[in-house]
Amino acid sequence: MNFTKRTEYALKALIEIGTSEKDVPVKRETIANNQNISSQFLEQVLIPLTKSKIIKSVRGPGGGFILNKKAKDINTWQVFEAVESTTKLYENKSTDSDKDDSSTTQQIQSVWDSIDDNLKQTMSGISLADVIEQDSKKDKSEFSSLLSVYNPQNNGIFQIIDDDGKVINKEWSLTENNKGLVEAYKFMQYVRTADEMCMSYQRQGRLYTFPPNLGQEAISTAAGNVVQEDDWLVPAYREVAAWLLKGAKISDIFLLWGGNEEGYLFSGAKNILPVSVPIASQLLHATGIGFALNYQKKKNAVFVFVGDGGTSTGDFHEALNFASVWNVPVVFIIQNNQYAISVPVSKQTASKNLAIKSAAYGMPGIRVDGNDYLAMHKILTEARSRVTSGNGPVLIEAVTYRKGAHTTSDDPTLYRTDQEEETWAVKDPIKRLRTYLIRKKLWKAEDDKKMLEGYQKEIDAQFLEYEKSPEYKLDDVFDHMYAQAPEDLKNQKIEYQKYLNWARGTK
Amino acid sequence: MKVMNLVQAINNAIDLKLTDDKNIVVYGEDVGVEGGVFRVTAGLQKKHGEQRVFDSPLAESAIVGTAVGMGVSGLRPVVEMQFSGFVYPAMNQIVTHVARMHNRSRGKYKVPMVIRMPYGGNIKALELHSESMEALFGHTPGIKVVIPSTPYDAKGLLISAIEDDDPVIFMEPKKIYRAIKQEVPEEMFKIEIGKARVLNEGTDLTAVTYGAMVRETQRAMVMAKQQNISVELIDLRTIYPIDKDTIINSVKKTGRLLIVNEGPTSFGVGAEVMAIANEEAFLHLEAPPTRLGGFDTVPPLPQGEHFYFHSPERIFYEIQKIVKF
Repeated sequence: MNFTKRTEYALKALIEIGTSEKDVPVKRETIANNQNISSQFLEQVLIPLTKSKIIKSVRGPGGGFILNKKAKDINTWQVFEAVESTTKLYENKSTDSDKDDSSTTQQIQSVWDSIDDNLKQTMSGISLADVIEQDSKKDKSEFSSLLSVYNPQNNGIFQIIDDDGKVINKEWSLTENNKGLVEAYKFMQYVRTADEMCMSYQRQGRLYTFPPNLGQEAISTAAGNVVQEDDWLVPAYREVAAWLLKGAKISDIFLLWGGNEEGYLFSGAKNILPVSVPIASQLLHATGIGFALNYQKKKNAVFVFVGDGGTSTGDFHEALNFASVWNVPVVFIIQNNQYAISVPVSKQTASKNLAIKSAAYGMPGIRVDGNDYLAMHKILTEARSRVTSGNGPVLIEAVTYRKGAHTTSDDPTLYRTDQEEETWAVKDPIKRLRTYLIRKKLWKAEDDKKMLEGYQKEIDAQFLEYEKSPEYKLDDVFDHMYAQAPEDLKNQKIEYQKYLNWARGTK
Repeated sequence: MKVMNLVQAINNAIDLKLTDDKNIVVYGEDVGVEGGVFRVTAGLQKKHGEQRVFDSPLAESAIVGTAVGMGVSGLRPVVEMQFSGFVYPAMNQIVTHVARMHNRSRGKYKVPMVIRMPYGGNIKALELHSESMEALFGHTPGIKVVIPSTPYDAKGLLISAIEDDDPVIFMEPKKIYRAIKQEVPEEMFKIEIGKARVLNEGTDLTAVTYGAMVRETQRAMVMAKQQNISVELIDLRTIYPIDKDTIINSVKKTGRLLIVNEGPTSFGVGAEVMAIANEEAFLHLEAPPTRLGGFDTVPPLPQGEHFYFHSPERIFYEIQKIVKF
């Protein structure tokens, strides 16, 4: 018996066929390319696999190969038998003339036979489904290699471009192409325009409290571009770009900060939770969603946000601990913007950084320059790839700076200096990506003006539209408290209506 | 005497006690450098030092839990919850330790502490920034619950709370933090915890209220007066221990009772006051006692809050209904 390359290639081909979407035949070329097998050699395993009814071929356009039975009903012994010329460890091939039937020889043969039996038993017990599952758990992402270079123990931080938009780190492949980078730049400018306009609407009394995203656009734009439609996004409250890219509308943002619960809906977006006011509490929800994804055998990720202040809460530690124990597909993103309202990170933790906290939970953690869009996109892409292949959660500390106030009610001059703000101004994420694009001749400086004016016009028109939205009704206070409203609550609404009628009558 | 608003009066009370008693420490989120998001502790760190007035990491449970440890070992912490709606992570510490340590240790350990928190709504705020959960605390045996409605009361009650050997939840009506100004003595003075105050004597109806609703009820009284309805107004000032005598004496006199508060009506402070009237002044009642609490809903976001928080008209509507009964 001899395991040849045939068994290995047969299994590779079967993994490729077995992981294709349901009932979609897989083409020869796809298998050959993805598994790096020459088509000539591939033919030598596909024929016997077809003959032994492990796979079948589907003809015509869109044809190819599909499994002939369920992956759990195909075992590796059957594959071995199908493609190898012999399954015996050793056969006595002596001729009649020198026939050796001595009892010693027979005894030795019985040893070979029992090994063969054991092998058959073992391989029969390993199904194709087992092999596929093991293969899917392999971490094919670059996350581990990144981690080994940028270890938070050494206070490492992953960057691709510097403050002047120059590539300083060519070691890693980019995950976003030129077109994607231009789109990301434009979107960050859009979000900043919306942010500035919301602050101005707030000052005019047309919105209520508003928490600006100023300076943190790269993080949530990257997250919004990496998150897939069926992935989950679990917000804190300062990652508007990610909400919009997940499918929320700008009108949702106006409604939310305009003081209407409808804004929590993010009406157009799938798999996104409402904004979470209780700091860090949402991290536990992300862990729970991660559990459900595993339970439902879905290959999706959860992206959840928290600030630097949130890392001091019990919920942060509990969420990370559960997530790691349960091996859930969650990407925890700390937006370390240096302040929790007025309190700097130095008063929040005695750890040398925030990513290092992952170590306590047996989870990988990494620090990344949150004002470097290229690095953010890279790290989140690799993180998503890692968590969706069953390798458990990761913690990402995105180092950034809250250029604006905590909210429109806050006054940063009470707790930080102009000098500090200037130091961070040169690290502005939009400025950096813009310089990168101009240097690469992907963007022209003179195109900014027209773009920004267009955004202002568009956003203002949408805001005027929002201001025409229907007036808040008494029903809106009551009707969503329960799936089925208790009688008593219905009566409270009726009684209040009586008062409203009386009040109208007296005026 | 100096004219102060609620914020200044509370600041002044803490300042005096910090000067008076070296065992007092003040901490919470943003209370140090910034002086709190409402600036209630402004200037105190500068004056009394970072050892005694400081910013803690962000964790309400830890703020209260560490105060238990300080309390049992001789300090008198005065801690702040940034908004009452943020106290929920600390509820475990409040209910399981703050309220129970004295009894659990058979009096061996006292946990003298004040947990300050701005509460109440109608300020166009975000979710969980408008809560009134005094009933939750009133329903927790082992703690006292105090709510001032004027700068004068705020100062006198807070000084008593800080000196109290039992833990006190001190809820500050943020709607009127800067709305009411009055003359307040600059020196130390105390107002006894557990004593309500009759703000206005009347004969037709007893209105029991507290916090920001006192001012709204006073406005409703003006409307009532125009209809020749004479309202006796009681400011509870302490939710627990509740001042039964003042309530009973008044209801015996007027025969009618309205309780006005912001929190959800069911299982609230209003129900408690009604129960006291029913138990102790039943034969004097001329109309069913009435609760005007909030709906049994969460406080709506700004666009809907005018439905939820009581206007003087809304309070007057209830007054005239009771009198007409």
